[in-house]
Order: sequence, then C-alpha cells, then structure tokens
Amino acid sequence: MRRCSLLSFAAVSAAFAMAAVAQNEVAGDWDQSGGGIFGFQEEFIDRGGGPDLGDYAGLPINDALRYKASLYSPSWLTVPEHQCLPHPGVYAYRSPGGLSIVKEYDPATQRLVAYRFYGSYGLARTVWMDGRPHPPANARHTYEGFSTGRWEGNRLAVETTHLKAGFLRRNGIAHSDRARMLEYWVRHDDYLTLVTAVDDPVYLDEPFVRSTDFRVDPRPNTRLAEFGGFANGGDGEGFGASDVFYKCVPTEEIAIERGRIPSFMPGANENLDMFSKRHNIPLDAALGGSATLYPEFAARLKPGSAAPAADRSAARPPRPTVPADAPAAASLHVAGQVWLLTIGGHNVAVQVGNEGVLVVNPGPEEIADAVSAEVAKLAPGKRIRIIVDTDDDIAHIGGNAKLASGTTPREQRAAVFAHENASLRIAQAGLSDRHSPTDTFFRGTRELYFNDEPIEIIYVPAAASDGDVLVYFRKSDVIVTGSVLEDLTYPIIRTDEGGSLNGTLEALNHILDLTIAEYRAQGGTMVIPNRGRIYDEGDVAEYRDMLTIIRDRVQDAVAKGSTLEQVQGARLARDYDGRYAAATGPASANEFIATVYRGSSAK
Amino acid sequence: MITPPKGDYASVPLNPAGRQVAEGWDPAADAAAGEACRAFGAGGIMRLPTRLKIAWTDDSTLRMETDAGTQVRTFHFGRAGTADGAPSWQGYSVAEWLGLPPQGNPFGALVAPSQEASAARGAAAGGAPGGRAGPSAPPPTRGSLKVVTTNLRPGYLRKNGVPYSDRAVVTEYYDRFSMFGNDYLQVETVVTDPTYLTTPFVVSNQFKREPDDSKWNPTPCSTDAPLGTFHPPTF
Repeated sequence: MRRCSLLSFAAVSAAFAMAAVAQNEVAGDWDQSGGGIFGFQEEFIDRGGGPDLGDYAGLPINDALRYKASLYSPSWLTVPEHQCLPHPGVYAYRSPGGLSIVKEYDPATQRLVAYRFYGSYGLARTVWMDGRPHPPANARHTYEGFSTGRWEGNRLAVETTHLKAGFLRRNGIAHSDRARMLEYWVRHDDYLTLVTAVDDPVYLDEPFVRSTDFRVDPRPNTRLAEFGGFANGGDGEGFGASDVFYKCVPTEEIAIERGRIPSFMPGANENLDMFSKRHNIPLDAALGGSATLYPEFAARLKPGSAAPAADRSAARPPRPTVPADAPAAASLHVAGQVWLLTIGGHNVAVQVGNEGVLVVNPGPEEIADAVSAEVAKLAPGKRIRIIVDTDDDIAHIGGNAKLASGTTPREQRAAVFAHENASLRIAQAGLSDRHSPTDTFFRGTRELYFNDEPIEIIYVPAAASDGDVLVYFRKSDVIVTGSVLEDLTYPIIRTDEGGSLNGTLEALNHILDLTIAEYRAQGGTMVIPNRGRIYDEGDVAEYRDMLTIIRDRVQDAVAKGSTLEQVQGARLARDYDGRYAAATGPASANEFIATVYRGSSAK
Repeated sequence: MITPPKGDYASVPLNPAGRQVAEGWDPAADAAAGEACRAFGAGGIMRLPTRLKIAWTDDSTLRMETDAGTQVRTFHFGRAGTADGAPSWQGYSVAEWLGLPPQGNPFGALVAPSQEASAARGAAAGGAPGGRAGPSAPPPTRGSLKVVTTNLRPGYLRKNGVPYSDRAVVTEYYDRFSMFGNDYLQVETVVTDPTYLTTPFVVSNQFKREPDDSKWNPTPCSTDAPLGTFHPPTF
C-alpha cells in the first residue's frame, strides 16, 4: 500500500515539475538578498569581518573539533601552501559576492548536462545533472567537491562528496575530507534560498544545517563581485570595484621557517574566551556542541542561571570514518601516463607507455595475479619492464618475483629498483633472490627515462625507514610516496629500521617542494600515497600540518617534563585521532603518540 | 538565542526612522507597557529559539503554535485576508500552496490534513512531525507553502528593539527537506515595511522534526536586557 502511495506521488511530482519551470528555475544571476556586495541581511559579523576566536555557539561540533579549533591560529594562513586557499564548497556561498548559475546542455542531445556555479569567493563549481555516479573513494578530492543534482518537486537537490579538508567557519571550525554535503536550492518568487547540511563523522555530532538567501539580479552585464576591489586599483568601496581576475601566487608574507606550522600549544590560547567575554555568556555555551542548538539551552544563557552546563556526554560515539566502498580491484587514471591500481586496499602505481609498463610497489604476493590482470587491461600486450620498490615492506615488494618474471621463462626479467638499504633488508629477511632488487643506489636521486618520460627515484633518508624513496614522474607530474605518506592512518614509522618522525616530516616537506598547485592550492602535481586516495599539494600540506602540529605538542609536553603515560593520557592528538588513528598497531592513537614521544625525547 | 546588544541592527535595512526607534529601545518600558510580546510577533517569532506545533484545524485552516511566547498563528487557505479586525501580534495570514493542487493536500507539502507536526529551533536548527504518518514517514518533498501576513501590531524583527510597523507585510515560504535522515522545516521570511525599512528584509531559518512533543515548554512573552555591548563590525 505504501509503495502505491509513493508511486502516485512520483507521477504527480514529475507533472508539476514540468508545469512550473519558471517558478523553479535556479539559473540566472543572483545578488545578495539586500543587494550589492556585503548585502546579506543576517550574520553580518560572521560573514563579514569574521567571527571571534572561541565563537562556536550553535554549532554541533564534537570534542575533537572543539579542541582543534581552540588551538587554531589565524597565522596558519601565512603558510605558503595555505595562502591561496579558496572558500571551500561548504562555505563558498556565505561570501559577500553575487552568484551566477548557468545551465549547460549537451550540444548533440540537447539534454541538460550540468549547472555551473560562478561567483562569490568560491571556485567555479559544477553540479552534474546527467545521472553520472560519484567517483570511487580513491579519486582525488577538491575544495568544491564532486556534486550531482536532481529535481525534487520545486527544488534542486545536490549531493557533494570528495571534499578536501576545509572549514565551516573562519575561526578554526574545520571539516574533514570525510565530510559530505546535501543542498537544496529553492526559488520563491524573486528569492533563491540555499539550505545546506554538512555531515562529518570526524568532527560533527549531528549534521550542521544553515541557509543563505539571494535575490534576482536583473542588471545586464553585471560583474560578479569576486576578488579585486582594494588590490587591483579598485576604489576600495567594494570588492567588485575592479578586475575580477584572480591568480593567487604564494609569497613569503612573514619570516617563517620552512615547515613551521603556526598553532597554539594546548592551554596557550589566551583569546579563547574572546567571544564569551564580549557577550557575557558562559564559556561552555560559546564553545558549542549539539546542546547549544536547541531552545532549552536559552535558559543556560540567562544571567545567574543555575541551568547545567552543556551536556557533552550526550554526544554520539565516534563513527567509522573510512569510506566503505572498497572494490576488490579498481583502476584510476591519475595524470599523464600514470594510473593507480587499488587492489585489496593496496595502492599500486603504474606508468604505461610505448616501451612498456613501470610498476611502483607491486604489493604483496597474493595480489600479484590481480595486478597482472589490471595491467593487462590498461596496457594490452605490454610487458612490465621496470619495478620500483619504495622500501623493503613486504606489503610492497611481495609481488616482485611474479611481476618481474614475465609470462614465459624466456622473457627478460624486469629491472627492480630500490635503495640499497631496502635491498639489504630484503636480503636479511631471507626472501628469495627473485624478490630482490636488481638495481640499487646509495644516495641522492636515481634517474630513469622510460616511456618518453624522465623519472626520478629520490632517496629520503631516515623517513619511515632508512630505505625510502619517492618516485617522481616528471612529465606526468605525479609523485608516488610509498610509506612516508599514508592517507588512511598516521604514518607507520619504523624507528628500529632507521625511520624517524623528523625524517618523515622532511620527506613530506620535500614532496611539497616538488608539487606545484594548478589553481587556488589544488590540482597540478598529483600524489599517490601508500594507501587511500589520490592527493595533491593541498592534501599533502594537510597531512604535513597534522604531523607537525602533533610533534610540536608532544615536544612541548616533553619540555615540560611530561612522561609518556601523561602525554598519552592528555590525548594531545585527539583532534586527528578520528581521522588517522588505526584501531590497533603502530598507527593506533597510543602507539603513534609513543613513537612521537620517543622521537621528541631523543632530540 | 541571546538578546543582541542595543544598537545592533547590522545588516537590517533600517531607514533613519527605524534606526531612531532601535536606538531608543527600552525593554523595561516595553514590559511596563504590556508590550512584552513585540519580539514574538509574526515578523520576528520564527527567528527566536522556539518549538512549533503545526496542525490542521479544518481543511482550510492550519494552526501553528510556538512555545516561546505561547503564540498561535493561523494560516487561512483559499480566501483573501480580512483587515477589518484589530491588529494583533500574529496579524492575519493568507496561505497558498505553490505547486500543489488548490484543494486539499493529498501529497503533503508541509503537513498532511490532521497530521500534527512539532518542531524545534535553536540557534541554527530546528523540528519534526509525529502524528499520523509517524516519525519514519518520508517527508513530502514537493511544493512550498506561501503565507502572507498583514494587519500586524508593531513589533520587533530582533529582540533588541529593531522595529517593524503596523504597515509591515510578512511573506513566508515554508519547505520541508530530508537530509541525512532528519526531516527539516525551512522558512524564508521576507518583511517589507515602508515605515522603517528601505528594502525587504530577508532571512531564513530551519526547524528539525522531533519524534514527540516531550520538550514542549510554553513560556510567556518576555523582554530581556542584552548581555553584552555592541561592537560595530570592522573590516
């Protein structure tokens, strides 16, 4: 019976959608609801000059995000990799500018393919309307995310995934790259309302919902009020007063040492109560949480209230943050001649060209046949000529023997490159010669030219181990990192094999030296981490920041005389544990902190 | 959720007369004059931290209650407003479905006939229907409800005395959305007022559906002094 009702509803809904196109259509030029730049009519301070430090009231943040935001320093934006950050997709339309929405049709079929969104401070954004699926989990993320839309009655419903880590509010209230956003765009007469809900299993206790209003902009030839104004010869009266063209290039804004990431040490942010003091409200109210969203919390804000503080115990328990869709085998084109094969959770990088196939990290032996099958699909009839092992991890080199051997005994075995230290450890592990590298080097960079592309194998000393290398495909502009960069967890630093925290950080900073972002801190050089999704410079910087900040906190605690147990008990990385801590093993919260502690103590 | 400081009318398009009224706001005088409900009128009530109960009185009348200020709003379908009654905090509201059949509501845009809804609003969120369909019923996702309210007593757009006059017209658009398993009621409010506003004042708010009315807590209108002082925004 219920099924019949739903069917009836769908049929009538479709009929209505056709009958009322003029009422529904969101395409066109839109201005702020009050007209002009900064013409929004609510949350003026939040959306204008920006919120105070410590203003998290009404936000359903969890303890991890509260901790993260409380240690946020606005000086973080001076770091070169962050200077050109755009407003991320979850925030872009909170900006003060206008908005233009354009429909794009397939010239052959005349069908609607997408809506293009321009303006405000965000990046140009596409909402696909042609029914295409969202990319697989390991595809790259962007600040605007990947969006698909559909009409639900009189409103455009949009789902966005594949977001980079960004922010919900400009005072350190972040969202992770696990966040998803749902939007409804609704037009009523001359007004357009955007309702967004962001769900983030890492940082939110419940979806964060807010809305933004626009009105029709009937002016012809309007210039989108984006950047410019003060900087490019504008009159300073409005950001839209001058050229909207904006090509950000990072510069050295302040004398900041390479790799330093501004962030308050725990307990050192003296301005955390800025908002609560200014408005005479209790600090626990200012620091937000789900309880602060609902009407009953108003009683807590009355002067002299005896109402209890915000109940944080009701916060939901941590949710799984690792994407569920993990197909047994999948191939993703990364850039140029380079592909990422993800098989059984292992990342295998493959370069394909006229001369044959180069494989970086074949993976464990048990996936070798699957790797061969995927390579055969990507490069029919081509042989694997070169293998590069980024270290001695059996999860990387286990497939050396099978993949290097070829399909018949008479075929020449593929060359296997690795650093000498990795080769020694492979030998010490008692593996057969067929697992061993055939070409090793001791220091610096080993250069190759294969498939019409220069390739650098770059030694990064004392990183995850003493035998790590990066593989840099210079023409494809892709870097394969091996163990120095994980996506799913904290790095696994094998200190007993010469690895070190600072060496890993140095390797990450070296990767950032090599990467060049295409536009607004993303795109350009692609990076394949040891496991997980494809990165670019913005993602590597996020990971580098995480590791640097945790190291600095632990070092600060060590300098104050804290024991390992005290540091672990203080949960100094709790703002990152939900994203990077493994359940068990060396990348678990406690064991990773122990590794950092030992590295800090030894300094 | 707190009463803004006196003089905080940033981003509200007040004309000089409106600003003069806002600058002269005196919550104690309002209370003494029996005007404590000024911030609870139709022009401002949907911005306050309140819960809602929504129910059909008959086939052409929808009733919305707020626990904040214990107000009742009545939305009349199918007939023009009558301006001959005495002005009131909630005025006279004429409602119409946008994109739905003119009679009845077989597909449920806001709430189906006889179906009750209760909703809560906080600083940034809000409500949910129980009633006949039950909390697991999928929310209707079709048209919008448009409500135009006139014949208002002078009131406040914000609790700190930012005024609208008896000439104000409040136009509201209600929509329901389902996002991440929650059912939300969204209201976009457009206030026009030739006495105090230079352009329409547009804001929007969300209510989150709740499983029952156990948190319903009627409180009378009140005037509250602000907790802080106004700091003009700087850029």
